[in-house]
Amino acid sequence: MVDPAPAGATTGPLLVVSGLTKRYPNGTVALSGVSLSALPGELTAVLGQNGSGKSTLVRCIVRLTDPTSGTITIAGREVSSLTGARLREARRGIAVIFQDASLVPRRSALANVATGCLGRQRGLRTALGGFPRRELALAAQRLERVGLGALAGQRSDTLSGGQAQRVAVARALHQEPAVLLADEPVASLDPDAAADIMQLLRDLARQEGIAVVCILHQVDLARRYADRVVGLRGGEVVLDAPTAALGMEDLAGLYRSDG
Amino acid sequence: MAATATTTPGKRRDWPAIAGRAAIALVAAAVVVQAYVVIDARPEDVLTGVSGIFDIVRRGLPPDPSVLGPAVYQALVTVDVGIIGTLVPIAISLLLAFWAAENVTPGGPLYAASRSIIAVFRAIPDIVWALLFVTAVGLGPFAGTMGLAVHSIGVLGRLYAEAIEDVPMASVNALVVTGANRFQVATHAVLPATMPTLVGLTLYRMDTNVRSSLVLGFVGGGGLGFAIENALSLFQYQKLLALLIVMALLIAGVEAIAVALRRTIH
Repeated sequence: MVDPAPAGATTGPLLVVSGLTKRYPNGTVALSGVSLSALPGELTAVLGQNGSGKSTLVRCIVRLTDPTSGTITIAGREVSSLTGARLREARRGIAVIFQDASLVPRRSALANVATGCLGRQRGLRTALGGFPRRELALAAQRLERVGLGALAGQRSDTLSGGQAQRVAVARALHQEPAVLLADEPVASLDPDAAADIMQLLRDLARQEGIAVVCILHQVDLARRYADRVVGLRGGEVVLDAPTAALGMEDLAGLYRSDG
Repeated sequence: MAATATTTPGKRRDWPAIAGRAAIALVAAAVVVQAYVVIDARPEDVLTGVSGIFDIVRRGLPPDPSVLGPAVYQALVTVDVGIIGTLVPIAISLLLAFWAAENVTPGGPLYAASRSIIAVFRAIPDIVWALLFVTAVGLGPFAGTMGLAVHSIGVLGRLYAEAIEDVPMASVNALVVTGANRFQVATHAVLPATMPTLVGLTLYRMDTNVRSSLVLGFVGGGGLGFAIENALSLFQYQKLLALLIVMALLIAGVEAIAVALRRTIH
């Protein structure tokens, strides 16, 4: 590989999901015993068609939904049963990028990136809606890192879709996470912007030693950018292998309509 | 087929439904008729009595300029009651709104309590609150201010909560998953996204409150309303007319300022 993982970085998996099951109150089983792990410096793609459980997986990992059973370990810490302040503390280790950039409207690109620091900056200044100067300087570097240094002062609701998603990537980076979880980050972007974002995510994995987990439904993007592919079908893992070892037949199986 | 039978119109009338509609129409008509009788409506008196209105205006001419000095101060009292009666509720209403808004509420007792406070404070009119405060703190602008403030806590609490419920949840969730706490989510996502709406609602409420403050004067809330009430009850029509002119100028001025302020925030 062109950019090896930085020397001295942890080599064990940064995200371990084990036996994760999610049963909704109405009886629907969205996830059934899902296990996967993500290594630092690697981009893991999670593939599956609509209804395969991809979105539920994301919501369980970040605890916007509580899993019915199973464990989630982020950077060595079990988080699936944490609540309150300890949950907020654990959330700092995992940054999330959503399909729509989910930026705060009416705030500048720079301020949106800076909100990545809220988990570690609990002072009066952040409580009142401001940021420490040092964090703003770091946020500016991160905006530079995603190629948008010139747009720091621009209001987030005036950015293009691709620019907004880059700001979201910079915000995730500013969180200084061990794991970066991207939930269909390119689903609403045109092909060029999508390729740019995927390239950026892979570079970040390599250069920052982050474990990047990317939920996708485009097989070609997974083949081009992922180091490893996990396939979900009907809430179960049906495929987990290095991209290089996968044939088209393995991937096409995920999208058969008989499921 | 059963399906074709029900879709063929005109064959069989649905008598229960027709009877139901007729009953509703009858009840509605009865409500209107009883209301007309109960309010003791005599439209002909408006025509014959119109001379009475002209009579008051005639007796008020020329307006008595001697009240203008005190009237300016009383107008200031009226405006200030409206201003303080709007500013005091802001922080309280905002807190209640964060607890009461469906999308960011912590739920449980805080949700129930905030919803109840907003509903009760809003349901009781400001004039009733003002009367209660007159018995507590005595006649004067302070009682009027308190009355306006308490009612406005309910009104603004509800309006703020509705504005907060319009904030895109995606941006709120995005901050929640960074590990931001509830307070940070409020100041970094909810407030920046809703600020123009919140300021607009508050300015509109201030405009309304200045006019309410005039009416509260009639029940002892002080200011221009109190002076108008006095002149009216003492049959001092020339003073009354001068005060009404000041009142008209005051309302026009407040309206103009409110419109200008609202324009600058958009």
